[in-house]
Amino acid sequence: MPRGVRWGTPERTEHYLRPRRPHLLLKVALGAGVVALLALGLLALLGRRRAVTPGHLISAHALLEARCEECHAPGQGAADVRCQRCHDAAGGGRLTMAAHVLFGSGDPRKAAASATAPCAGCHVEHRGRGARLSAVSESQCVSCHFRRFAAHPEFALLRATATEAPGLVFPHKRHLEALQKEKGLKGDAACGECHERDAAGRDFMALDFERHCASCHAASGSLGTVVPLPEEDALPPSAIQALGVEGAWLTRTAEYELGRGRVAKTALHHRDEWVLFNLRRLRRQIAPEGYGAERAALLARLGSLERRLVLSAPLAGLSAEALDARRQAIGAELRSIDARLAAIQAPATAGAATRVAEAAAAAAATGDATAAADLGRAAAVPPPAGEDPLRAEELAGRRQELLTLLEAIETTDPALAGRAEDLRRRLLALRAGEASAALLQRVRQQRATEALRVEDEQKLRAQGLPPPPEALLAGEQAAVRRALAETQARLQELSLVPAPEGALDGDARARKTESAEALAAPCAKCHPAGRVDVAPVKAARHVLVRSTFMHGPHLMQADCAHCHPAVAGSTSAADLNFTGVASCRECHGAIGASQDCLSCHAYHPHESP
Amino acid sequence: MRLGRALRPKEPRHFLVATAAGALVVLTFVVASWLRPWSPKRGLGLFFGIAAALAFVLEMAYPLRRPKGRFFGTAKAWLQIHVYVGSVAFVGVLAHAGFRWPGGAMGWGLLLLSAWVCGSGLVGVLLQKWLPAALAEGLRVEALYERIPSLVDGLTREADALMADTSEALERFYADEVRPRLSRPTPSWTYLLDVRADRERSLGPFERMARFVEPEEQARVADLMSLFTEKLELDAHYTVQGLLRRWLIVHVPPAGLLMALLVVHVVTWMRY
Repeated sequence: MPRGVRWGTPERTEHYLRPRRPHLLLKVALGAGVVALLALGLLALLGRRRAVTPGHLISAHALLEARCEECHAPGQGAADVRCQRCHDAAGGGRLTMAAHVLFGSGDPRKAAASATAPCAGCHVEHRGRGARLSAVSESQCVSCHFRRFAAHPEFALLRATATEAPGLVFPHKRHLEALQKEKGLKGDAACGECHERDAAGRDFMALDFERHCASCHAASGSLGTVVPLPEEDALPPSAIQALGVEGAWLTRTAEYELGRGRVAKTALHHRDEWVLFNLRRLRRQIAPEGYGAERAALLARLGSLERRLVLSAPLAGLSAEALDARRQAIGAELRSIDARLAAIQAPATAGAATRVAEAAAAAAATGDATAAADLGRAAAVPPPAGEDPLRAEELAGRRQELLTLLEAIETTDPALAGRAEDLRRRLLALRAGEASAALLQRVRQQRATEALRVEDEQKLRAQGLPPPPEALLAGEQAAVRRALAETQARLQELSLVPAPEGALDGDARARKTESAEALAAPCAKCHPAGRVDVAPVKAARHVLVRSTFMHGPHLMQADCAHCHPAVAGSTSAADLNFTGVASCRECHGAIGASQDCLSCHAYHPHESP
Repeated sequence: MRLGRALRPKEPRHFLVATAAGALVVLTFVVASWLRPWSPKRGLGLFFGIAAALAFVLEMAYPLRRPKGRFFGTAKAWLQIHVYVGSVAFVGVLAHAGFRWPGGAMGWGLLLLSAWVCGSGLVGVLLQKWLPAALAEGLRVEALYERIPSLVDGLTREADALMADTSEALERFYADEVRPRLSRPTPSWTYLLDVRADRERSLGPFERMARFVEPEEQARVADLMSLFTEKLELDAHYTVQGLLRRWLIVHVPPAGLLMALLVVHVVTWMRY
């Protein structure tokens, strides 16, 4: 019988079958895991944390890669306060969601109520050396805004029913006609006569009187003349020099005509300093509250800028004592704000009205009838009922009243000047639609954030982490210094103006107003002038303030008239002369030029101290 | 045909539920990331990460199925949960990462290990369904993997006894060509493609030898061929069953490493 391959299991063997050791592979796996954990732990202890990080930092942050603690606060992730340490050293809050909302809406209440958005939520790190932190996903924008460019609303400027006065009388139509008639220029060439490309060719240079206007408007070197005015209203150069004012404009005596108690100017320059000085002086006499308001606003800005300059010094560069002192100062400020908040929230008492009545009586006793009348009116005003904020017009009116009152108090008792100055600053800090309690709450929030930053810096100091490089802060400090210098120069101009000797009666006020109008008459040809003011010029500036628009690249695609068709017929500088978002949609869209938000917009407001 | 059978889920209902769960994860990701920026650190991104991590912990508890089939009743239920929860967890990992490539070594480690462990697990499932069926269909012999070496020894002894006192030609043929291949299990990758692979070519020499030996020795050659055929089948068993056991080496230790990286990932997330 031949042997065949048997079906099924062969016969039993004499060998004992040893079962496998239970969970052998599992034990191997767990062992491998434990070894890996120990290895990673050891690497971390040795400072080699690259293995456990989720990815490389960008090259600008490469030095931080081995020092996780510099950005990551335990349990808080990459805390905003650590980003602000370098990127918002002045603590202005420019990089916060609130600043973004304020930038977009201009509404401080909305900004204060906005949600917070952590820096790391948009700027995702650990994506490699070459990653761009500024390349934020579109979905970040569309989580609050519209999704497609087709849904982009019309520009706010065009939606607004009223346009902001540009401070200039400038009919495009007349100028374009003149250019065509006198120089034969048409179309883009005519526009380019004033709107000149900058060196990089990306946009236009700022308009400048000497460069763009003087060739026609001051062809003879003078803009006109000032009619003879009484010397008490328009001080002659010698009288101005006697006040301690210096300048080359005071030495050009040939330009002045003096006689019979009057002074005239035969040659007028652009921004003529003699005219401006006398206008400021007249303004201080005619409308001291306006002068006071401007000065207080400048002082408030100066204080704010000086504070920012101090804060923009890197906290980590301060000594431990200086840090402690700053913390204490902020603590004191917080306590003061809390006290003021408590006072605001306390029920109104008759004490304040009594104090105003006392001041009115004191003013009457010194013979200052105007101040006494102002104070008397103020004492009669009942305290506001309820906590609803005032509307814009109402606020402007009440502010003017209070500024007048403060001016009266200051005139009555110069010893109260400091206190009046402080109250003026607070008054000017108020915004329409915002109760002072809300403003204080916002300031409190800012101070509390500063306190947190100082405390965090002290913690970092204790860990021995180095301060951020100075270079990061230099740009911001330079911007603050520039703004500081400009503000100081304007304050200096104001401070040159002598204080009025007393309040004006009705006739004197009317005469001085007439003089001011005569003084400003040559300016008023181009600059719309108030009774005693020349409006600041805001023409030919970027009107789409929430976006970045470069004319240069767009002019390669279309001529000026394509987007500004109405400019040839425009008779007012207030005309916007552009067709709005519809003209953008001609090229930007799903098919065509880019339609992503960041092509035109920036989330963070620009640095503008 | 056999592949189609292997790919067919054992429990279609479970397969459908798991597929639906995976699709739901993807759909949720698509809708949520359209509505809001996706981040693994918050919202649904974080939820998927935590869910996937917990699922991986459950996966590592798979050995608990024996001997009592704890928690889920039977070992079969455990296996079903192990396979489908693991697969959906991998989709959860992808969703957690926002379906993007990771940025660093740790991210890549986690993603690649997750993919490897899930992929090797699914390959294992396929092998477990395909290879036993192939063995049952293609072979006559059945053998426990651990017994195969002793069975081969037995065959060798039987062949030695059979070849005692044979002609010189047959003895030389046995000693030179048969015994070396008979003496120990010889696994070959070709058995994974066909469990009867190479059989005709291997048995060809026996048929040729049968023609050259005396008629009375032809029965011995036939028996030797039978022994050799049995040995070939044992070799096929040894190869295929060996693979069925050894694929776990590429599945389980990487799973241990994955758990270690997961621990580091969770700790760094909680701390930083």
